[in-house]
Amino acid sequence: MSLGLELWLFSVAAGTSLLGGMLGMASGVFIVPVLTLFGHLDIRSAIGASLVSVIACSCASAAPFLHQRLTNIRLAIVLETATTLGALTGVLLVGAISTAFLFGLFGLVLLLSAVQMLRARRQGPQIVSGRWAAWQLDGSYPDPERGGEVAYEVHRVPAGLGLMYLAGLLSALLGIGSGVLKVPAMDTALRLPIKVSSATSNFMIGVTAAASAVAYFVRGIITAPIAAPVALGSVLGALLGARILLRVPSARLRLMFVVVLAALAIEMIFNAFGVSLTRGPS
Amino acid sequence: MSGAIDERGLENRLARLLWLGTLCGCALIGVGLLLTLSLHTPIGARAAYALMNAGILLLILLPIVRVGVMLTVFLRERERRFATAAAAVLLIIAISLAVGLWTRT
Repeated sequence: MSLGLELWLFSVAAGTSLLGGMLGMASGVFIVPVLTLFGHLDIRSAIGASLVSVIACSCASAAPFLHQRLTNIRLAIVLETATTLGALTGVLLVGAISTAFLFGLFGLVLLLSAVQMLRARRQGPQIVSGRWAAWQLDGSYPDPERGGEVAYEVHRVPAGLGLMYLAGLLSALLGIGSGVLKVPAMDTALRLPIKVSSATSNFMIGVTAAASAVAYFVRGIITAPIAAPVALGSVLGALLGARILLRVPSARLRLMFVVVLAALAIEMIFNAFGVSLTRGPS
Repeated sequence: MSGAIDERGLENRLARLLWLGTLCGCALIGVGLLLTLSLHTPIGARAAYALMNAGILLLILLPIVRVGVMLTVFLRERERRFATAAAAVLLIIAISLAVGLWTRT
């Protein structure tokens, strides 16, 4: 293995996580495109490395959310049955899927992420129905801004479970946290307050990614020389990024991210059809 | 929600587990990477590789252990619905591991 490659992997992971952390978004979606398009790594190794970094970032950032009681752990464990089942489906499917299809699907997810980033997150209106009360999933969290506990009700659990299954499937196929599906599932279907939604989905990402990572680890797709520097770099970047979250004006940074996402999406889709702008004629 | 005090204790326990686990995993990976950069003997390279793999494995196992802790607490509190969910998650992960072993090249 070459030292240059390891340092490059470490820096790339740290840099993207730092920027992602500053915007409060997961940067897993950047790792695979950067490793494949610029590092010319095999997409399957890149997906394996990305999964480990997704797990590490989820675990590293879980503690503050848990201490602030923003994570709904009961809802998380119920939804995790769907995300891990989706991940298992991905593990079963991934061998039969061509590299070109993976590039194309990734491009599509990047495009959707760019669109999602342009729109402000909005939670569905809270209505009190009591329909899922027997499930004991409802909760409350302390909100210092409003001064006191804010109670919330969980809605449309089946729709949430369905979207979570797809999120788990995408996570296993592409090595991402699948924020692109978890945001609509949490905000629109289950109608959780945004703080609870972010904390709970971050909590779930770790076990979702671990469900496919165990299979890829024993298959030998996750290799230390690639996964180790990527995981360490992204944890350090994410922890640092979360600390400078509020000090940078984010409107311009968001727009920059949208442009980068769109550019990577186009290049991934080009790659799916065998055309590469970063590699020259192939 | 039942048992608000136990809930608080469980949340803090999970937070500690995940944070300490991440620190250990990252420390193993970090030492492994430093060894790769500094030692250029075959034995050094193999030790570095083993450390990095141990760190990666620890990180992958961490959320699974977290589900195991939740399962034991839900069982003790006789919360059958959530204990069943936790057991189902562990079962699905075990099946995924079996599929991985089965299709190993």
